[in-house]
Amino acid sequence: MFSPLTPQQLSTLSTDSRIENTLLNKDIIYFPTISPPPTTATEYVYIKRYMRLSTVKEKILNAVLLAERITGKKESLPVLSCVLLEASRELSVRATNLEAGVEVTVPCEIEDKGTIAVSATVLSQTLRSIAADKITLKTEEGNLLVESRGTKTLIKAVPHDEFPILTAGKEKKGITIPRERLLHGIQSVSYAASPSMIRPELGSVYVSIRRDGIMCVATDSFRLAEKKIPGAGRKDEIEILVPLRHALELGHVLERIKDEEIELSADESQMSVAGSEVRYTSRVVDGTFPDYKEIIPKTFSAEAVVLKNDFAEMLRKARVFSGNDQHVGLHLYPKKKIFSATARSSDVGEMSDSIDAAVSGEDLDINFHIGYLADCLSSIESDSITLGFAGSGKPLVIRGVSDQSFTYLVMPLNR
Amino acid sequence: MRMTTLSMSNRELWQNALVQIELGTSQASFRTWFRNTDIASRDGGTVHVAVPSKIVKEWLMEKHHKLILKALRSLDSSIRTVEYAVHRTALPAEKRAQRQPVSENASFDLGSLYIDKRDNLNPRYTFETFVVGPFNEIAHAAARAVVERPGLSYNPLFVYGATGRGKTHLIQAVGNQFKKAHANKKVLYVTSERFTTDFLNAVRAGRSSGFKDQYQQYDVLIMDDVQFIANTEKTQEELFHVFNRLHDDNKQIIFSSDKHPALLAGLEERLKGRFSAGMIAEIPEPDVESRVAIIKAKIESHGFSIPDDIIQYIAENVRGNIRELEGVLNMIVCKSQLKGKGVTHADVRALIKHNVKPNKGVSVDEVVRRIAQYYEVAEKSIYEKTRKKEVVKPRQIIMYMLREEFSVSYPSIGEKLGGRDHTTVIHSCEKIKEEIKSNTSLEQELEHIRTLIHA
Repeated sequence: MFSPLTPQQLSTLSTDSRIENTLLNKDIIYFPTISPPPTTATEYVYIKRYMRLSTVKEKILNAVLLAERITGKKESLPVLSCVLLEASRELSVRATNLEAGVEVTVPCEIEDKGTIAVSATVLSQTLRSIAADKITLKTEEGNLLVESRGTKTLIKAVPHDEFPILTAGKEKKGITIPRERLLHGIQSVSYAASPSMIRPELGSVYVSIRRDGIMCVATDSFRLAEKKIPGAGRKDEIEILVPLRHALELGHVLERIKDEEIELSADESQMSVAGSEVRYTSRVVDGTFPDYKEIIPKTFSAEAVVLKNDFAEMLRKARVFSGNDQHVGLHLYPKKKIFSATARSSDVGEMSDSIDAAVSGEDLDINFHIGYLADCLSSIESDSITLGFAGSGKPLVIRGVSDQSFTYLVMPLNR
Repeated sequence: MRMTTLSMSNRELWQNALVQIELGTSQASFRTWFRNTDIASRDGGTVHVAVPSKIVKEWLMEKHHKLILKALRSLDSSIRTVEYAVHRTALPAEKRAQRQPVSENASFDLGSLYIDKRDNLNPRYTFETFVVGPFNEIAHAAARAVVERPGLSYNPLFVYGATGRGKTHLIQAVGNQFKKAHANKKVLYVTSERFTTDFLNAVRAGRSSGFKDQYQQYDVLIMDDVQFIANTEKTQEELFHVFNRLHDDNKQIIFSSDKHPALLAGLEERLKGRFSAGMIAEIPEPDVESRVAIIKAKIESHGFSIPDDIIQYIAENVRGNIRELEGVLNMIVCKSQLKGKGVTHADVRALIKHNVKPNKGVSVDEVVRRIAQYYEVAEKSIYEKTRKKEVVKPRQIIMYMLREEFSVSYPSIGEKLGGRDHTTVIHSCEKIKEEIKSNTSLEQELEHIRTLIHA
């Protein structure tokens, strides 16, 4: 004679460590109605355990899309390309690739608790194709049944006993910072980091939260971008190096979080950013970011102030004519009030363009990689920019006029 | 590569443990959770396993700890506990991605920017990056002991050896490790030249009496290249006082030099005595096996790979110090980047030919004979007193060759070539050097002679 487990019996079952290992994550538990309840796993007979919940399609779809991005791509362990749906007090959607992890909480009505893992892409495609607003999720025979008005889909489940524990960041108290400012900081500099992790500190974005504000810096040793966001500082300080890949993903997550403030916590191996419904964790680099202040030139041999858009346009044109190597020559002749650019390639031709500029200092001809120059312009808000040249073979400093929050350094070409 | 008294290296131990662990887990599990793991270090009965991320660490601790401990204990019963630390080396895919063509863009010189201004320590010089081998294991062990019990075990610690053998790396590693272990203690690294300059500046500014006081705050003082403090009277006296004060307070002092303290010229006896009062450790020339390990460590940190047989070849043929080894490796790396693919034996041979001091397989007599032959003069006339022009030139060239190619000392050369004064030898060498600048045919002759000698 089998009877369904009362919620009390179910919670007793899951906290009894003697049987935990056998029953954990099993969907089917048979419970004999004898008294007192048996104490060994083998005495239990299994009954079906249904997960049953209903939710708004849009919300769960967004959660799954966010989680899908974090799933491992070519994994030796099948469960890592899945999302884990765990319904207890609320529904949490989780994914990880062992370096980073994300957990999204979805509001829903839970009738029965349960846990199930299914392929992320299959689930996201399924949800995407549903037109209705409300959907229900159930486990049926160990698989996931997704139902809404007019549709019914059964997705095969993947055993989830090896899905990693993501306790991440929950132990440590973090600091609360404005979400937009952190996002802005990361976006202003991440393109300057190196795509390679050979020197991990160069392949990362340096994020520091201090009393005087948030600062984000990145460099690949050819150029360096620093963004300072004052006023968002906190008493507790955090300093981390986030691998570029994870910094970009964090940016993506921050864009989709609606909270105004988020909680950031970190230790030497991991960082965690949490909003009210989303938590993103990733590993951080245990290293030192170079003390770059010294390489920022203090004096310049030549300076130019130009309209940002003029400069951008000039570079765009140079790009067309520079061929594969993307080199551009900049020329300053202050006495003649000339600021121009030249580029040439044997296939396309050559160009020479000058723009209005307030130039001062000594004459200078210097070559740069076009991309390195153009990259920073989207991070500058002012209409006018200053270009400070420290001389041949030395860095160029680009800033927005009367804006000290963003500093960009770029080294010229070798010859 | 032997690691002190262990019979198996940490790497071997882990590889063997993994074999057992693989049997206790599913293939998918094993490949996922144990990939990129290794043993970071061992101290006594505790093994520290390095894992690539915290997620992996938590999983191993939670699910596989018993299996891991069992596997390790079955190989070495002295192992009692296993701890896990997150530590990640560049993955093979990332290393491959690094092989890009040499960049045409200049880059910031970030190397010196990692130095901590408060103590002048370079964070790159740690025990983790220090390759231990038979040639430096004593110095290494002494350095480790100093970190364990600063001020008490070996005080002062004096490390000496020719340039480029890793002295600075080792003594800075002590500083860095100490900093890590004791966040509230203070370390200072200075070169003796810096100490001298600072002292002279203080004298000039009239602050000399308070100069020594600033050193009182440090728990560890590391002074590099003390040989350069030779022949300075006041500076040595100052160092003497600084030393006494720190030593009396059981603060740890570490010195390095190119020679044993007893052989340091121009140094006061009482200072030499102080240097010798603790532990003196030499770092001699690295043996071939150690060179191989050092090469491997250096190229791995750059994400490069060179075939083992070429590494062996380099280790055997590039004599000289570790810096020279690095120089050769840089050239090889550069060459391979330019070529866009790996280097061959031939490439390496060509590159090191110009950089290798030849083996001392050739005797002075041989050199004399061959050069005399080349200039068609009687061999014995070289040794004689004769000043005939046709003999003088070959004789001078012989002196030049012995000096430049074989680094024979001036007095030695003078003696071997008929009891001549060393100033005569110096004069001859300078003369030939000058002449090479203006005379290309002489240069060519010397090149021919070189091939004759080294053939």
